[in-house]
Amino acid sequence: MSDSPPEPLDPRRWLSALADGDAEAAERACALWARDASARQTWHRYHLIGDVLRSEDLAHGAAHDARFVAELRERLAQEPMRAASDADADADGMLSMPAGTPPPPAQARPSASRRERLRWLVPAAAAAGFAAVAGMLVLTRTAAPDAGSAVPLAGATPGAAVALGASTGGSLLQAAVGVGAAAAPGAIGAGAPGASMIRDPRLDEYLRAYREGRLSLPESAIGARPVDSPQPRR
Amino acid sequence: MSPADADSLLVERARQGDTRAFEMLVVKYQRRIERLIARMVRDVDLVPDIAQESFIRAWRALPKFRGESAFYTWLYRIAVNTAKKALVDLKRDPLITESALSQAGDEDDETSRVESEPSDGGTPEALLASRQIAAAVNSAIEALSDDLRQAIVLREIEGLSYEEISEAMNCPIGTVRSRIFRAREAIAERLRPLLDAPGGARW
Repeated sequence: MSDSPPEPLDPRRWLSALADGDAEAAERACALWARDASARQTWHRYHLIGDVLRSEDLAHGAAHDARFVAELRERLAQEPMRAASDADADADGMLSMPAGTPPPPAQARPSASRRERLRWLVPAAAAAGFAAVAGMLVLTRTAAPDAGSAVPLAGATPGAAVALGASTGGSLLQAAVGVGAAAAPGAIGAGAPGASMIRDPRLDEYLRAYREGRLSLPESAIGARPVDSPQPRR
Repeated sequence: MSPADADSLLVERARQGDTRAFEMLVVKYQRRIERLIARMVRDVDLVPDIAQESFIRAWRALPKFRGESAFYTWLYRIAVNTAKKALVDLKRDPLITESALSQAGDEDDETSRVESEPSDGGTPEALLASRQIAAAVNSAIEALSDDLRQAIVLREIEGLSYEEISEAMNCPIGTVRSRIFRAREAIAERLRPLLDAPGGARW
């Protein structure tokens, strides 16, 4: 039998195809990874199999690997949200600084650990509605009616912290992180047409909840985290 | 898709900030990176921490990765540098014993082994589990039909792309994709009792 009959649409096919670099599979495989623990397990198995086929000393149980990824996931969650403009030039000009914003200072040396930097940022966050470090959370100007008191922060000013008053309400959070497309109101989480950015969906959930008034405390902010100054160039 | 290209989809998503895409890459390379680090730093307890640090550094440096080299080559260098830095830091700490320091291994030769140890501690149980997993993969491969075995061997061991395998096996690319998938599933099925231990991996 040289021609195989088509299998029923097993979603694991996408994982297998992506493991081999099939571009069409990327979107679905990544979505599966996000929502399905058994998909993560499958992805791990496929790659364990490949490793073992090539080198038997890479064989070992999955528990260690799963713990490794879980721990890394936690550490990634503490990293600053990456803007797409970090990777690509900001051709759209969507990273707009408010008028009168001074140019970013020269890149600071990374001084203390992230934890120490957190110490002075967290109290501000506790008081204000939303504490974020410039360069991490980007607000694009939207047509929101009550955006008057919004304080957009943008750019790559290292170490700058801006506390956004709670009075600005939900309009502030018509935010797009990782700008790559116009963030029309209501586009949050919906995927604006032509949007190429990929955001952490937890941020989307947070933004939706904030807009719906289900959240009031910044401690629940999962998208806004203080950030170290950028790594020095080596 | 060549093996190097297979990463580029995930790498590009990760560069844009997709942590999940990055996690998928981590799952792909974590074992090799840990093996590499274990050859440089003898203390197996340190290996996962250094590996974690390597991946975090790679995440942070991703925006600067332009794809001039293969992703794994770039990641490999980061891991080597991270391990070297860890060794330097260890030497500075008077409390660290000699056992944590490695001999001067040839870190540029990934295949060299200086008493390589598995990163899970090398306990007898872990070694037995490793052997069982390797044996299960081997017997599963042998049990495959010729078509499935050839497809997955050409892909995983020879590193051929779908197009190349399609030519080699004289069948459509869709059939190649299907055969590789079914081969993986058959092998995974063999591994299930070994990997699905209660209280084991939680993804």
